[in-house]
Amino acid sequence: MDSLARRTLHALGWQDEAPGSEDGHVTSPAAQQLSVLTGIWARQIDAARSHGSGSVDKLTGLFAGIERQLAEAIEMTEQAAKAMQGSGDSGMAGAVDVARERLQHVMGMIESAVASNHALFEQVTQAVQAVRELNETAQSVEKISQMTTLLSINARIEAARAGEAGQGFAVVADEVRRLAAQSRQESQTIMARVARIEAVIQGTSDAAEALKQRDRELIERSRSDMSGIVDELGDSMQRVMETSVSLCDIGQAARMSVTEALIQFQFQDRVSQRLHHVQLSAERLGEVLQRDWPQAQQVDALNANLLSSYTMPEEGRIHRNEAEPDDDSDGLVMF
Amino acid sequence: MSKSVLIVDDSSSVRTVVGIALRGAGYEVLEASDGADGLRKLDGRKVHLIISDVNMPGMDGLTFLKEIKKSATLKFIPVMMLTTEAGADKMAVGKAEGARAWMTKPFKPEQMLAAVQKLVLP
Repeated sequence: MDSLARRTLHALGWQDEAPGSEDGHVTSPAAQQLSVLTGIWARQIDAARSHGSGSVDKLTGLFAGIERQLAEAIEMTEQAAKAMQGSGDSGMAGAVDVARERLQHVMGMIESAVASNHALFEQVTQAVQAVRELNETAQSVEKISQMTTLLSINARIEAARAGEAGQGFAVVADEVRRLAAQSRQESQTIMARVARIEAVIQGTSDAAEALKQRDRELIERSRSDMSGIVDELGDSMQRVMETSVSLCDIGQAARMSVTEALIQFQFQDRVSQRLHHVQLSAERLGEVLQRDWPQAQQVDALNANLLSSYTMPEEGRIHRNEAEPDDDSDGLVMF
Repeated sequence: MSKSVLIVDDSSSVRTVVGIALRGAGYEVLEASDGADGLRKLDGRKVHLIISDVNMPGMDGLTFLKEIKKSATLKFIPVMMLTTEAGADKMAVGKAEGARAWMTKPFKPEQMLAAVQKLVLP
């Protein structure tokens, strides 16, 4: 038994049952046991390697799924943001302008309808004026009838003075006075009726004026409200667009982080290979131990075999217990 | 039409990572788990570049490379080896068998993409 085997057994707390077998020709039960143990090491390493690879593969798949979903979400959000930012009527500003234009058109139609009503109201105002003029005419007629009455009285006096010759004229004067009285009565009747008509028309005119005022206020308020609604719509769309842009930025940052995490998962390939090399070496040691305790040259061969199995420079450095160099190579060789 | 790249690696996580980097740069990606699977995937299909691991169960990367270069229809496809294998002897074999580049893992995506851009068929 060489010193390596002895040290190994001692470390495990076992005693070699054949201490006299220094020349290694006797197959030791301890060597057999150690062979079993190397088999356990190899299986445990293999299980750890499989478990690690399987788990990392699953994690990589999950992260790749997240990366794909993020990419889709970013694309959809970017499309929505582009649609809102688009030029012409399709863009956000265009849509708001179209809404504003349509509302202005509606306001124009309302104002036109109100203007038609106002023209009607204007005719009512003109009717008030006509009635006033009619009233003035009636008043003139009354004044004329008063003057005619005075004239007939004077004519009657002059007829009386004329005596016999004026009797016929007196009859005419009486008749004129009677007609003047009748005319005055009719003009008063007209004035009374005109006053009633004037009151009705004036009431209508006052109501029309009140309606005009109310229409002006309503139109002004509607214009202000609609303008406010369009402005709020524009503001809301602007906020949605800004949020979309923020979401894109956040999504891109998350996607980059996920991609970086995926890149880091490359460690598993290296770990797996390293474990595999150790596993194979343990299995080779087990095979040797099944035959007997290894000779120094066999241990050297195992050592050389392990060294030659390495694929990564760092495996060799660790094996030789060398310090890690500053690695400034870019890992790419073009042929 | 986007260029297509075949990734041959027994590690699905490596295939995933390489695939994400390539798809993100606009390449179409095919995957194979070893050399034999890679040859099946190439049957009747044109790709613009092959990226292959070296140490794989089944058909390893250097054997796969030899098979590619033996094929009249596939031999002009550029091949880049992507491996943990950094030994000069293996690299020399790869070069002799017709590999166009040798990149050791872990790779940096931007560096791999720059190499892909140089190698990919027009």
